[in-house]
Amino acid sequence: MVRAVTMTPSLDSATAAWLFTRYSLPASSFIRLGNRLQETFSDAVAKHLSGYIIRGSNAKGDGMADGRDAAMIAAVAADPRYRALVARRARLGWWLSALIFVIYTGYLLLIAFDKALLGAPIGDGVTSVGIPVGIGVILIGILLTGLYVAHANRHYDKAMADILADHRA
Amino acid sequence: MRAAFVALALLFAPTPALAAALEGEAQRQPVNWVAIALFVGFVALTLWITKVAAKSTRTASDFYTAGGGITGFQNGLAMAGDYMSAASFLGISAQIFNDGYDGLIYSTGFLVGWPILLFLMAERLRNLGRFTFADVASYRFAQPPVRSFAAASTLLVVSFYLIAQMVGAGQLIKLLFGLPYAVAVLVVGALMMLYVLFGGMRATTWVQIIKAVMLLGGASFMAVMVLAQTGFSLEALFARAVEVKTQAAIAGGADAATAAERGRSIMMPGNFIKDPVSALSFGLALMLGTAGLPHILMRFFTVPDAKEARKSVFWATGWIGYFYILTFIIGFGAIVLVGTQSRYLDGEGALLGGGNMAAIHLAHAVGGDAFLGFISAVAFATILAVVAGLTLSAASAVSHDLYATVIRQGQSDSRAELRVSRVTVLVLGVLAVLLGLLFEKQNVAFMVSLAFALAASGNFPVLVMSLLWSGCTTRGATWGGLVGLTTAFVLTLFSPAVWTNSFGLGPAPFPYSSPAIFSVPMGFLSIWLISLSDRSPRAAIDKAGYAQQRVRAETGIGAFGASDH
Repeated sequence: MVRAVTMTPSLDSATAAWLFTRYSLPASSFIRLGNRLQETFSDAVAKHLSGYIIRGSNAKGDGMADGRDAAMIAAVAADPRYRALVARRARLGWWLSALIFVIYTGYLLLIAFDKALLGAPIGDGVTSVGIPVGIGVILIGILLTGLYVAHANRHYDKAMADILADHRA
Repeated sequence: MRAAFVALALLFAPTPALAAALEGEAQRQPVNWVAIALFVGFVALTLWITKVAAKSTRTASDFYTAGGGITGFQNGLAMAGDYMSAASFLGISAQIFNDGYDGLIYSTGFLVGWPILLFLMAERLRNLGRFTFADVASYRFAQPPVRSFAAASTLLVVSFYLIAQMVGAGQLIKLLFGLPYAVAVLVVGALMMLYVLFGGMRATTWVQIIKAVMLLGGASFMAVMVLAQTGFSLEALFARAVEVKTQAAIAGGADAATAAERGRSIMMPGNFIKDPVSALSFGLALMLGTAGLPHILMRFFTVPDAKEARKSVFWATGWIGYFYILTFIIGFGAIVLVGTQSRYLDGEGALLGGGNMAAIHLAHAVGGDAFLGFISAVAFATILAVVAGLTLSAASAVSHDLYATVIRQGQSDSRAELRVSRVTVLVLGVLAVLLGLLFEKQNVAFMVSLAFALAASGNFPVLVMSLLWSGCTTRGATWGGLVGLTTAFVLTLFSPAVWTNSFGLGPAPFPYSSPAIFSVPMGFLSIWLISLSDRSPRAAIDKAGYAQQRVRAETGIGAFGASDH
């Protein structure tokens, strides 16, 4: 997948042509000099540039894999264990999203249609029902992210690593 | 882009300031030397970090993603630092100081986007992307159209967010430090340029982490001091606050029953939500917009893998939620400790220095001059951290999405890309300062909610559909996203905040406070319909690519790791 767009330090022909006319240089000597420089420094330059080279994109610039990654991806995609695992997680993701969505919109609708309910005091005190409800929405948000992360860390990563290990071998 | 700004600037020219978060013109305060000394200390520290970061910022991946080596915990803090703006600290506590409960409705909206971001997107973003969210949105599509859309949308969202931050910064610093508005805007612009230009994502991340720690520490101290006054009983705090508001109403000439009712009103939702449509629409923009903000999405690429991406959201959600709960206590603390002391009030009982000063005066009430200085410095640092993150994401949209991918067709080396990025940072910095000066007297409060509405209507549908629907095509993502974005933008122009309050054109054609309830479904629907009707050869390639994209999104096979960077 990691494919380098190799950079050579040679000048492109348009620039060379411009330099040639501007300074009336003999084209051949210019190109010879360029090639010489390139040979001499190519190792050093390649080493230096290695950090700068754009990696991982194919010729079209999109993210699609080819070669070994593509083969492995095809194999993983066909694995029924992978399919089941991914389907389970997608379901979990949608359910949790729907849950937080419903909780929050429910809260908003409650505010819009029944302010008095949220404003009612709890027992004999001053604190209104709305305060634990509002703080509760925040805490449920944190709690759900925590549960999801704990679940994914404990079960999902392990199951996925097992499947991938089989296909890597 | 610039033409759009000039047009906007002309349109906004004669506007009365009004309403919401950073409201009104700030009165200049006496020069606060403690605040300035503490702030200078913060600046010295962050510039030193920038210098260190600059040494290890050589490649594009260093610049955009800090080399991908940030841990989930650090990234979570940095996300929190990116997200908790001075407007939400000062604005929400001020809203609670005035109306009580309503501030909490804002806070919940700002929080609930994070779980959704985690459940649907976080891990997939990390597995597919490298530098910008456009990497993910365009993964299996033809690059130029989708990248161009993503870059345009990023620039639009960031611009509105940035203008709001710059104007807020100017007002706030005039208020807190006693510096002239223009100087304040210039200082913010210059520092932000230094951080991003030389330190890239590494410096930006650390500025955000330090700011988050300072803000959370300061707010915790204030909340503890407030609770200490009432023996750590929230019930007692609320009872005192209701009593204070009741007494104030009696002093204002209300009869006993009305006064008691007015006192009670801070315990229940008030005027913040008028009609159900506006309520839902505004809530939708906050919730889904969070999952579409380019500077937040960009932070997912700074961690090594999907597991750390997931952890970052957990930490970010935890810290942000904790912060909003603190803000709630601080707001009520201000009612009790600031609203009752004449030295914080002017002759008419309003807060000295303007409506947003509640938390600032509370800092003085609980911690004296030194702590006031500290909180002022934190507020300044907060703005710096947010604008640095915004600028970095706009610069990467220009250099990585427009220059490297659309213009150079992926054939540029990262040195050229970095150069473009840095030039963009310079241009943006200058532009941000100019816009900050231009919009000084305007009400920019609506711009933050506009940024959220745009992100929710453009970026969010495009990301969800490209990640989760195999039938999505290049044409669908590009034009559908554009339809969502444009709908949100146009409806906002027609909304009361802009049409009536800013333009002064009378009753607004679009009566609701946020466009999201229409523009988000519009975005999804357009992507769906355009993709369905797309019979081009490219559409077949797009659909065929989904299976492979899905596997990589789920497994991370071939994903950019820290070592690949």
